[in-house]
Amino acid sequence: MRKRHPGVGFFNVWRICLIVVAGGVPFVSGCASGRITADPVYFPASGGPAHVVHLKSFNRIDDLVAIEPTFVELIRGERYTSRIESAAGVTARGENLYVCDTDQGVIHVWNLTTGNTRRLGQTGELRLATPVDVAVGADGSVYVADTGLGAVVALRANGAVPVRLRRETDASFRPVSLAISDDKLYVADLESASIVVFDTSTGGVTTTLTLSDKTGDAVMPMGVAIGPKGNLFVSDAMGGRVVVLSADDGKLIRTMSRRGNRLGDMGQPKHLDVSADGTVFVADSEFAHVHLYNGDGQLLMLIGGPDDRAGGTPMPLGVAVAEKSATLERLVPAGFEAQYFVVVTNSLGSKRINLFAVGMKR
Amino acid sequence: MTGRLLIPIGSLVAGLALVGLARGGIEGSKHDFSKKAWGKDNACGACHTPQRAETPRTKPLWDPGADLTQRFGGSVVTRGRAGSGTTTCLRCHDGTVAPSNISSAQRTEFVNQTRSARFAPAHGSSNHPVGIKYPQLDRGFRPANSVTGKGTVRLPNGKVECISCHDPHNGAGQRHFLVTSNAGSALCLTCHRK
Repeated sequence: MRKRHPGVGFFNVWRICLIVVAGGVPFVSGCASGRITADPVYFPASGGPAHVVHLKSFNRIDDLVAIEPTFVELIRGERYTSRIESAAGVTARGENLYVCDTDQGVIHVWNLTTGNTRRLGQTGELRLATPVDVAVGADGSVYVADTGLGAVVALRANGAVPVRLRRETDASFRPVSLAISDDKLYVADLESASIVVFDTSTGGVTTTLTLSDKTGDAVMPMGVAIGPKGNLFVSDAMGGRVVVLSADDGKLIRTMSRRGNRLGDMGQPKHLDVSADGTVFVADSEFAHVHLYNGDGQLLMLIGGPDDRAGGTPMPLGVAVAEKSATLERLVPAGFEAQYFVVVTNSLGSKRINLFAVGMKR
Repeated sequence: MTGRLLIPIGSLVAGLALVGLARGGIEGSKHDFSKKAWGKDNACGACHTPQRAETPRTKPLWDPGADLTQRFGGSVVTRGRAGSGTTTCLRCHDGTVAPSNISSAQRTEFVNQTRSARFAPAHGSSNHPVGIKYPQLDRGFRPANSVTGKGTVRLPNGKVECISCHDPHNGAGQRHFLVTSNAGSALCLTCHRK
């Protein structure tokens, strides 16, 4: 389903003709994007050396990437592109950004270089219902955690018919987060409070890590990610903490934070991701911030905030680390040396996707 | 004989079930998470975060200027954000914990009132917009003081929030956690004239 660009109506065709005749000045807001128009917001907000800068908040790819209008768009005076309605899980792979849209029941795939868009999950017999997280395998297969279907949907890169991955035929399953490593797909299952490990080649369950047995306390797993050393990071929404486990046997390595309302505590952590340097990013929907921890579990700082404005994360849900790309680096303000990027999705706010750069301001 | 007994026994069981439903309370309701695998026998903890008295001892490594006395979450309401009576619900009703998803941009609006006139159900859904100022100057709606006068429907800070019509603690024991019965559209007509 394509959307009309707000504010560019059919009767603007005369205006478009005048502009085209006048010299082809870009006429839609998307064409002017890709430039920083407001002062960048740096973090930490309290001052001191900036480690993170907010680059952009957006709902559409042409808010981020300059896209020339097609001939049809030029004639009709409308822009057609996919728009996020309700963003959930997100992941970045190569040039592509994959964003779950629980309202439209699709995965938006946005190419950050070309601006090309695709929508996965609404064709064929198996249609997505409530996609809340997405992961991409080494072969390009896309895995979607769908709470509405109670299954993980595997959209194979080779074009094969999508399949549902379930625990057992009679077991209730509520997959809320995914992480993938080689041929293993780690699924956070809220129903059983466990991490279910699937073999991506066969689609079968290889093992189930029951978290309460590992930690000695119940865990409400809302997010799962894999660190650079191969360990599993699981966010515990009920315990307000992150549990770090060995991916091999589920042995408890450490926990980070606790539930509370003070700096260093967490409210309701949702998805999380870990960068190559070991920094852990945890979206906290209650505190409306993203917590940053180092590999030892020490709090580095918070980014975002509850305000619905530049740099704010009114209700973060998804978080994904993205590698450097030419498109993203163009957004970085002068004087800031970006090492990598972080994408945060929000359940609230006028702009549902935030883009941050992590590095150092010189 | 057996058949004669079954009818009154069945009626008794059904009656007791109805009484149980009407009694309300969070225990045994869909908001009672204490028996979930992650519930920790704690019916309150899924929504309510414990308040900590002590301040942190160490500063964040990358934020030495951080205010260690600051508090997070709870009823903190800031600019451009729906009230806490909505955001607390949205933390689960975003498609993750709870099946219904009300966090769409079409359904959740904000105090800046960019689309204040939109009251129609969005996307063919019956979900009501939330986080919006109550349109008390609109002829189609009753005065705000008459809406809140009975003490059932609430308009926190003059806005329609989730808790305007729903009681997450299930105090009234109504379906869908409504604050009162909607028989004959009574709850709807508390605000809407028709």
